Amino acid sequence: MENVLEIKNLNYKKNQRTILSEINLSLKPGKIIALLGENGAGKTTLMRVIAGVAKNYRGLVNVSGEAKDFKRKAHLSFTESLNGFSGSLKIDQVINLYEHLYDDFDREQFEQLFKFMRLSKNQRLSQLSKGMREKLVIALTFSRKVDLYLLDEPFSGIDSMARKQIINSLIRWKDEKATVLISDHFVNEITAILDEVVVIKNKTILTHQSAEAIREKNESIEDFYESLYQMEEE
Amino acid sequence: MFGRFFTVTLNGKVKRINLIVFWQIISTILLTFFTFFDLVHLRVNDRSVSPFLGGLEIFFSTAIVLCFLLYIMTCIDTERINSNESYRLIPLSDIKYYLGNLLSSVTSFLYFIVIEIICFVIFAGATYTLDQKFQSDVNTFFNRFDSPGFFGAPKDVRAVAWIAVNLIIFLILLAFLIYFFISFLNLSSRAIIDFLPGFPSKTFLTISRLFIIVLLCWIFSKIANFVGEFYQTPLDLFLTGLQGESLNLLALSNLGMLVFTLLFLAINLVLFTNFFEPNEKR
Repeated sequence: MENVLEIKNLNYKKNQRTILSEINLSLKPGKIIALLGENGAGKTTLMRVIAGVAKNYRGLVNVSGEAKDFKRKAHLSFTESLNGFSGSLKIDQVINLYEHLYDDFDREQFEQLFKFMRLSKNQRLSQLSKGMREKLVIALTFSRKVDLYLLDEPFSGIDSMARKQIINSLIRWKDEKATVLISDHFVNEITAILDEVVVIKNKTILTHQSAEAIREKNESIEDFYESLYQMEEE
Repeated sequence: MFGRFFTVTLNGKVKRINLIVFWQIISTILLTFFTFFDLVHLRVNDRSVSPFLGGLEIFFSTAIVLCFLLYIMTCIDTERINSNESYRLIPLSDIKYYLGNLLSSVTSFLYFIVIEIICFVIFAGATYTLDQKFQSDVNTFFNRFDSPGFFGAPKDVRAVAWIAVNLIIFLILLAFLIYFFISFLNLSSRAIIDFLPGFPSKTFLTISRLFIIVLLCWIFSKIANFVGEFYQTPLDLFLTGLQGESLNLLALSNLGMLVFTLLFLAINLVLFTNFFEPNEKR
């Protein structure tokens, strides 16, 4: 089966600082993968490179066999913070924009997700709390029918109820063949739903393992992740 | 996808224009109304005018000012959309994105001009109907055209038409060239900033970017001076008086402007495609 994501020898520099170095990564379809790493490890940059918005990188990035930036964008859905839209826009207008801009936007699925997240369409973007905004972003992201979903720290700064709703929506609405890459620096939130774990450290990928293999060693994913950092400190 | 992106960005820009024109019309009507009931006394160019003519003159003056302001706002808005991550994620090539954004800006600006002309014609028609003095002044003005020999020799008419066409082309090219230069400053300064070593603070970064922009402007002023020795802009020709040979040079000069405009567009497309990342707002 063709890999949904294929990264070979990816290097990315900005302000004369290496942010990503010799990244090699392959992801199979239908998996939920955690991209773990401490703050500033390069998780968001890696996602931006995959999403085709970070420029001037070296190496090969393929999503569903497409290497060109704009072609990759058609096969992936990236949790974008919606900061590019005016705060005065009503949620309804944002939904219409998404529906208009993306061929693969499934309105029906969005309505279900929206109901599940208990959001209200009459509110303006600027009126949303951080948790509600994050839920809206997830609902919009998952309403597109694509091969790869990139969720960049979807649980940061939101309460446990909202986190549970997001995780449940992931389980319920993820297409069987679609791959989800979730970046985070907290592990315990998502361990139960993970198929694979990718740890990014020192600007490169430190390890890429299946969650099952980690669990077979009688180790929790949280302990496994923490042990990688403790080893370095020792 | 190009069409959809164009429509979405155009809708946003047109919405703002509608709001601007709405307030312009409301303020003109209110001013005319207050003048009519002697609540306000309008004086234009140090002379008293009738409420309707005063309203018309106010509308015309604000149209000129708004045209200039809207041009600047459109330039800024276009650059803002260029760095908008929400839009940059749509599956559209960078070249099409830049051109789509540009095209929607041009269309919105043309829309503004058309709306202003229509509103002016309506206001002028109302003034013509309701203001007897204005009506007679307009009739006198147009009667002059009926007098034999008013237009002069056909050769002169052709010369005036030639100048008018070239003037319009020059103004359009100038509007594009100024925007492309603003865009170039934005794109190139960001590309240079991204290449330079990291900055300790946002203030330092802003100052550095401003310094780069000033430096680029200085370099381009030197280049412009050098090019100016070989090339006369249409503006130079207009200022030196248009006679004989310089009339023929107008088209050539506009062609030169077109080349510079396309050159800036090409540079901007290269910068935008290869170096310009959208803003990362979290």
